[in-house]
Amino acid sequence: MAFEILSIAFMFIGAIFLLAGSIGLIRLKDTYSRLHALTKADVLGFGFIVLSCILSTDLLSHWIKLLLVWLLAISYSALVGYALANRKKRYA
Amino acid sequence: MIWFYYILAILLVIISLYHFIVARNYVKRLIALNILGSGVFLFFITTAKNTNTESPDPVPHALVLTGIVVAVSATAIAVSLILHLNKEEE
Amino acid sequence: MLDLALGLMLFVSALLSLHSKDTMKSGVFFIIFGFLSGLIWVRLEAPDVALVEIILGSAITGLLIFKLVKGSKQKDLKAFTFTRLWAGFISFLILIFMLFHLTTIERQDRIASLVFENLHKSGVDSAVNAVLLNFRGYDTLLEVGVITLAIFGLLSLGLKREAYYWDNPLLKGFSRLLLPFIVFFSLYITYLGTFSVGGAFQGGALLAGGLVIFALAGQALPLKASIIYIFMMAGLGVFSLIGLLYALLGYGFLTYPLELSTISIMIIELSIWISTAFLLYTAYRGKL
Repeated sequence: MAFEILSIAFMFIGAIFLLAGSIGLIRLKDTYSRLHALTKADVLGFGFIVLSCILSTDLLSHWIKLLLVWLLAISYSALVGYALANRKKRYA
Repeated sequence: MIWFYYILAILLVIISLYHFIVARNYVKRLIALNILGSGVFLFFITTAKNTNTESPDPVPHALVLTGIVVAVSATAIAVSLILHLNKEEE
Repeated sequence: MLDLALGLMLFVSALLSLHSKDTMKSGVFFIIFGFLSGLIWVRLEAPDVALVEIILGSAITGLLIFKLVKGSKQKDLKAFTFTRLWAGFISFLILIFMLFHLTTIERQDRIASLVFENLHKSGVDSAVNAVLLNFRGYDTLLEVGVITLAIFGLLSLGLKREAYYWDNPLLKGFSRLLLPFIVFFSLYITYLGTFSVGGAFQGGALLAGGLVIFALAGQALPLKASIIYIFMMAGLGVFSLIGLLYALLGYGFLTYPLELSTISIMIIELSIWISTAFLLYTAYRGKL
């Protein structure tokens, strides 16, 4: 029961961060601040959602899969942020 | 819900058909063709859901699966034909 | 509610992709369209289709469209009024025709129950793969033939244009680090096809995506052209050889005996896995 409440709370927090990231992506004015919203807020929100999913199952295999998905997502998010900033710097 | 997806599929097919005829740029034409294919796939998958059995019909799923792969290879050959055409025109 | 939101977003992204003046922008909206349609396949309980759609229909088609956008300098001319008129008229007629036929569709028992009744005779537990590789093996064989032919046609055009790549040490290292994991994971998905969601085309699409990331970093695979040719032909070759073998043994073309069906389907899946991956990789590169 406690785990379920915690899981729902984490899901909610994650959704709020993702929403904030998406609003920032649309509303912010220049590319670097948009990149900030795209990479940082989204990774934090995604981490909370993975945590909530981990709390909602009790199978070890699901935990390992979710952790791998999380690891992949944060690493490619870092790479995408780097790539976009690099291109912007070169062509601005 | 099923009817919403049916109408969505029909609308996708119609607007992409219109743009396929109207567009004079090959890129737009190729995108319209791909969206037309997606509309047809949506119709198939919705029909697969529209059965009395508990899980959806696997036969349309298999057809759509192969259809997507064929659509991608058709797009690839179209892209290289159009690039060839541009090279000839120059 | 979720269906409604997803459907509206799908429709809006399709409209934006078709309407925007800039071809690069329409390519970006097409990628968004592909992702949203993948989510809709999940909502409609078709996870196999969703896997293939997100990797192939969205990512690789998007890359191909970007390649075309960068290569062609054609201006977006406005269509003639006459063309617009007759296009609108034809589309309107087809819309009326389809809406009329929508009223005749009813909820009925299709061949799904037939598939589920005979699933234990197919050798695999996943219904989609049973249909793909056992019940309708002819279709899949011809489909593999079609994609092989398409890619060989593309190669025979002999276009020398280099596919786009980004020469960056970070991307190179990342793609090199990632490729073994992607190969392993796509094999796992292919193996899962015998009893759950997954299969040869899904795994092959995933491997093709990994190889395309590898090529995007400006590196070529350390394989000889002849080996890539063999991989590309493997699906068609192994599939038809196994079919002919069973025909010679007296079972009929592509009709597996029950005790051998699982192993033959697994061999066919492996061959289709590798050939789909290398065919689509070649489709992106445009050369060997």
